[in-house]
Amino acid sequence: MAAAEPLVEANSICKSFGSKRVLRSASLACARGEVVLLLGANGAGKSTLLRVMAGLSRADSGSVRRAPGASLGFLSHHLFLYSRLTVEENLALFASVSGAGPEAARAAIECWGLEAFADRAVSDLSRGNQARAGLARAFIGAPHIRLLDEPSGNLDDRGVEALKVAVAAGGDAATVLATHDLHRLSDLATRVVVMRAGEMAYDSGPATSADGIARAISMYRETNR
Amino acid sequence: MRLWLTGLGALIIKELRLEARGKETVTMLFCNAILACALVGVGTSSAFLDKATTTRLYPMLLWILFLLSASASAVRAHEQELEGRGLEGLLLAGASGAQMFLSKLIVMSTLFFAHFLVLALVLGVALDQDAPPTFVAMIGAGLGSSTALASVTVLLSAVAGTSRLRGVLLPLLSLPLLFPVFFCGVEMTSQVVVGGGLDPASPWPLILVCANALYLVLGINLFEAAVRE
Repeated sequence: MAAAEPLVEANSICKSFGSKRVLRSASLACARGEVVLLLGANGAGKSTLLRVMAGLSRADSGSVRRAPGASLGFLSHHLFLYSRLTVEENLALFASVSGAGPEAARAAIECWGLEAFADRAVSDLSRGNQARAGLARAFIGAPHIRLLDEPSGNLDDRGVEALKVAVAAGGDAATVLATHDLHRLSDLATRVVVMRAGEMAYDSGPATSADGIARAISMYRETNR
Repeated sequence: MRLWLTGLGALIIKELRLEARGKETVTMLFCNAILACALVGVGTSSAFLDKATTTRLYPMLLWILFLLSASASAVRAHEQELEGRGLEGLLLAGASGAQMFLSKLIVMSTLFFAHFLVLALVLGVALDQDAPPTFVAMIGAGLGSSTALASVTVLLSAVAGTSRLRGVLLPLLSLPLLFPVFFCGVEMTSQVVVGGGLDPASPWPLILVCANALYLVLGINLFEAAVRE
């Protein structure tokens, strides 16, 4: 596979819910090693685009392509965990299903600082620890593609540090972070994309410089006015 | 293949754990069974039916109660999948539709079969029936219909799962598909209870096997699409 070839690519995605058009020919590609910060006001279409890219929602038109054999880690507003199972049972389940093995579940518990809560049901955890458990699930088995919707939403600073370590440890993985949390996550980005009303309003291109990030932030603030 | 089976094993353990924590399906199944048997027992006793008549009615009542109570209870089993959208997470993690379907099928079939045995026994007591001369054909019918019923309800739970009317939709959608199972069950049980044993020329066991095969193939192939939709 060539270095610039994207691991995941959405082309001209259109998606409506009833009469409301959420995505209007949105396109986004993420290559190996890229960390794309996907910005946009509420309702801009970030979450829908990530769901379509993850294959959990079907586009009305357009296409999504994933590199053959590339595994996927996805985090959304839903945890995709079983609330009555413990953190350890959940992670062991997802590790087994993804072929990562039981040691991956133990490593995820340590990586996300969940040792003290491993034997507690997910429903009994605080929102912050539920978010960590959701991230631990998304990162289990070191997926090649990580699509993370508001990953720092309920995280404290230590949680964000763990997130940064996990993203950086991915190395060759392709990561898309949809977020409003610029001040804590902008240093992770190698590229910034801004969405507005279901379309791509700005794309800094790969290997974003400090100037590129500053322009993207100013564009993002404009969309939020 | 080993990886696939490991994943299937993990999913079966998940299903058992969820049922053990909530006990909702088991509670509904057995409460329904005992309550319905008590009502039928009181009703037939009030109607002063003689024993020969209740013996002829027993197979039909058994299978009506079994299919109705099991399909009504099955919707509870899917509720926990909706809470955290676990099935979508499993799909993302690489679980196949066949693995998810089979894990649910194995656990639900076991629950339904246990439910059938309890129902057959309690209804027999409620209707003052003697033990049949042979249980083998009845157990075969119970096992075969439990797997068919589980196939249908697991698949249709995924289809109706996100609807607010799922509690109504699931029994309504599943019961027409369960007519062959009902007829097989009634005929095989009648042969055992009234006739004293299964007629070797009876086509019903073969029909039950065919219904099972059909529902199994449908479930394995359609479950993933139903979850994604």
